[in-house]
Amino acid sequence: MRSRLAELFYKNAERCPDKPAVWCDGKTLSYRELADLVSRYSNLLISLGVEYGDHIAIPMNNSIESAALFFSAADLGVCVVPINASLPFDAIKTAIKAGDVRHIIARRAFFSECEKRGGVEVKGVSICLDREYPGTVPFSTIEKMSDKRPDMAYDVTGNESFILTMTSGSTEKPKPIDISQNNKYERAMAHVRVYSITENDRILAATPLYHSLAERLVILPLLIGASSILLPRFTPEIWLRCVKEQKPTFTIAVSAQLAQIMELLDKEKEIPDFSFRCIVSSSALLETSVKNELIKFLKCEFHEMYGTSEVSTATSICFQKESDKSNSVGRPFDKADICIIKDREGENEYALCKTKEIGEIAVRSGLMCKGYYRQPEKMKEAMFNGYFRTGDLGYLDEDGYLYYCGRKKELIITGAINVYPNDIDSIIGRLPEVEECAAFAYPDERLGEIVAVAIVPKKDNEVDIRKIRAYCAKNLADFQQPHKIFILDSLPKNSMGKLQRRMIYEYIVKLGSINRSL
Amino acid sequence: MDKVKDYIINFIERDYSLPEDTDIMNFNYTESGYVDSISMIHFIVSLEDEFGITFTNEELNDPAIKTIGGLLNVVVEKMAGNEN
Repeated sequence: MRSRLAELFYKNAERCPDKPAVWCDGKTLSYRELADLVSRYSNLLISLGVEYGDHIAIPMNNSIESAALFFSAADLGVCVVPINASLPFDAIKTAIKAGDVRHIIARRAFFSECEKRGGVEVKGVSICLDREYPGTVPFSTIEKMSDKRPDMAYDVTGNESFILTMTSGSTEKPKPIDISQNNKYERAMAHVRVYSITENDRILAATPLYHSLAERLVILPLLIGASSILLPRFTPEIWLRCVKEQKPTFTIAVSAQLAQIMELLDKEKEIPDFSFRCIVSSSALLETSVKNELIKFLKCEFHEMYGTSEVSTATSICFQKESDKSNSVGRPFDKADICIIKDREGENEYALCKTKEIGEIAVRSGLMCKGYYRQPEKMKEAMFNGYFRTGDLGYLDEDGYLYYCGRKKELIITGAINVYPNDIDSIIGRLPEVEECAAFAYPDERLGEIVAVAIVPKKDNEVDIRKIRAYCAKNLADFQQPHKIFILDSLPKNSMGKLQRRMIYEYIVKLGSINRSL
Repeated sequence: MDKVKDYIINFIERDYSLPEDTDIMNFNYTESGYVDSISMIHFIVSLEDEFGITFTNEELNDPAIKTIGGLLNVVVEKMAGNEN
């Protein structure tokens, strides 16, 4: 038995060899060319000793080679562990350990940075994507490989771990979300059904490939014989240029990107005729005025969705067809089922909420991931009667539409990326002049939320903001960097002395410190 | 100068190689999405550490440092200032 994902892709390559399969950064590969690249990649990995079930870490950029790796890994029954390259070294080491990584594929800058800090050890092979680096195999070796799809002496059932997505930051132990090939296939097909995606679509992925959203948008078209358009890097200008040239028909974008694109379109003198037939906004509800403006410019069907990496898309709504529910994130997606639960007082159990009563959103779905890799107890903790507790708060109305109300977990979501405040607290808290500190979500029009930090200096100490920024730059990932730093005399706490993180913003507004931020 | 230039290019090429036909010195690495506003903090701090310099606020606000050539000039000038 061979990998279903790889089989579908290779069949498409046989059926429509000259059709554009993938575009990225000015380069297009046809299905035949991409199939050759996938086969070469598989042969390279085999020649370097990569075996069925091995895990390969890759600080993943948006490139044609990354897209090829997914199908090569699928064909070999190998698992890809995408890593955000901007993570601090300790977090990368932790992710590599938690992901049970045997091999690494990375760029020279990654290997060089790791070496400066003591190196990361893997038992298998290290492949360098750009030119050469000591102790690694140059990726250019792929040119010597056969473009014939390798034969396999074993079965790939589809239940193997295919992609491990890391969920946590630098100090908390990461919970790798374990996605099988079958998960990916089911998720792709559910999106095909709900959004009526066909082989005629040109599907744009504009988020980083180390997130599940872009993975889906790259893998899905190649399973159904459509074309994938992969934006290498996001700025609104690059997005607009790509859309004008490549004429995508479908995309799922994060709302923070759409808000930036909207700002740009407002300034454009000439608005082009857009090719989209459908755009889906994810990760946070867009303001109705922004939605209306976008629809005016893009002239296409506009959907919003809600979901998590563990369960994939859980609800969806078409803004034009269901405008009376414009503040909702929609009804259950495909075959998903939603319930709202609340803690039963005094008991370690949950009860169902009534209609319109706010509680924790729980989702039961055939698109659920395999679990958290090697942490079944964590997944068990997150389940209730077969429903995954998302940690988000919301309610259902009488028609079964879900309304998102915020998060139960203390998270900052900036530009669709989850930031765990504790990761930031523990780093800044190491500075000797800091008595205590707390990272919190600060509202932002462009990104929804940005990371802010409130710092209480030790008595008779002064805090040098520039030193704090430099320390954060060295010890935190790019997405964790505080945009705003407030120096306070104390932090808001309850009568038990527990930090009230959600109150910090209001507390600062009350103190009138907003204009004194740095 | 070559060492500084290599360091700058290596940082910018962390995730993507520069296009082959690029006019390197005039390449605007922020407009082209190679370094975003948040990575920029990381970039500046790493340059300060590596070459023992400190950027002034005026230098950080000068659009000229958004090109490889502009940034290179500022770093090299500051290093020369340190030596004197």
